[in-house]
Amino acid sequence: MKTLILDTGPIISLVTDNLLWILEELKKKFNVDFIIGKTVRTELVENALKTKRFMFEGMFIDSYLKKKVIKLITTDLNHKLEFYANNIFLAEGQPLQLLHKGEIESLLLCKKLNADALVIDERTTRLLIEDYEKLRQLLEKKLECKIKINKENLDLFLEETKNIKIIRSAELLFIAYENGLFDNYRNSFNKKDLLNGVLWGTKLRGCSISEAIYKARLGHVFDDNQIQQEKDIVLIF
Amino acid sequence: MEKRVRENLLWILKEVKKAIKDLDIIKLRDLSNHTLHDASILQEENSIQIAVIVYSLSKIFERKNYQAYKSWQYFYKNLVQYLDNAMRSLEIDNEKDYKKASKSLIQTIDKLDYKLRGYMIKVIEKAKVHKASRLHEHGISVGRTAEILGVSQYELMSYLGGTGIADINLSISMDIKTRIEFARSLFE
Repeated sequence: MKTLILDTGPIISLVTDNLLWILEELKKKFNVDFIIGKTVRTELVENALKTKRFMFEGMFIDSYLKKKVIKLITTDLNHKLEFYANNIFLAEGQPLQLLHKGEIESLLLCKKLNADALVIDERTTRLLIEDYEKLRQLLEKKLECKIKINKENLDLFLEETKNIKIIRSAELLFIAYENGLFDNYRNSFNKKDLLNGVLWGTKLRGCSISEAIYKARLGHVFDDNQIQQEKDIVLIF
Repeated sequence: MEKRVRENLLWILKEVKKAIKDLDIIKLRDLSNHTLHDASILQEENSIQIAVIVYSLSKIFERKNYQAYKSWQYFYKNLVQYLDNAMRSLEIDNEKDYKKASKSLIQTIDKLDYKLRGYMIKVIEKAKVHKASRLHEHGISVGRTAEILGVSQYELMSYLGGTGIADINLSISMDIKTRIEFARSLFE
């Protein structure tokens, strides 16, 4: 069984796009455990229930928790990881508080459960784990000041998160598409438009995917013998 | 309050007063971005609050029909009074009075015509989400910016989707082929 930790963003992307059902189908088909932490649940359910606009989304996610499509697992948040993460970059001598407790909790759950992947749509956490130098450059460009790195905290953070691998809701949807979960729509729409609609949906709901990446490279994710057949998809982005 | 923050706020409020007098909407919008630097680095509540207030004012003054409401003059008078009180308290470095002045502006909105109050509350809520997106653009995570601005991540995510914030090279941390191959390995 594979274990995937979900951050707040991917569930928001899926639920607001009426695509949360793919989690249930992927779980059935591949025996995957989808897990969230308590802070993530609070944002997704409790906080949504306090609003008019997202109340139903909160109820909908709650039903997925009740039927255990998404499982809730708590973890001790009293860990130095939050301190490391929020004391890596310094602007004008001031440590930049970059990550939220929910994002830290998702990272800690990955460690605790030795998860196979973290599903996260937001850019800052992903960059910090996968390419901190790009995050430093981004901060420097946007804040228009020199960004220094506290090497000790960076090393400790990277050591704690070294085994964490990341995917986004876009990849979950792509896998769902490849495995026929959208086949019901193929009678009415061609493959190109279908994948286009699915991926644009998640991008427009906040998943941090670059239009340029898909434009340039999407074709190469297919096997060689599929490229010709799928070439149209490359062109659409 | 840090000296730099205080001086920046004071300068902004002076410029806001001029811009309101001249009905200079573009200047108001530009001024709302002047605290983003401090808001991102220090995550200091006064800098964040003024960014939201000034952006909201740019939207409020942009909509000329608001000025036809009966309670508009009441709002305008209290706004000028707020600016004067806030500037005075900053000049003498009295943060308590500065906060009191900011609070009084919010209380003024509560006393407006039902419709105008409703519009202004919506404008302020939208301004919060807009400023949260700008903070995220500066490199702060979605969760953290939502927390700082007091907006829901649902609101923020849907707003971010409509921006081009992700569409820069510095957002790319892994080749898409590698990531999809990894995703495939999870679902075999």
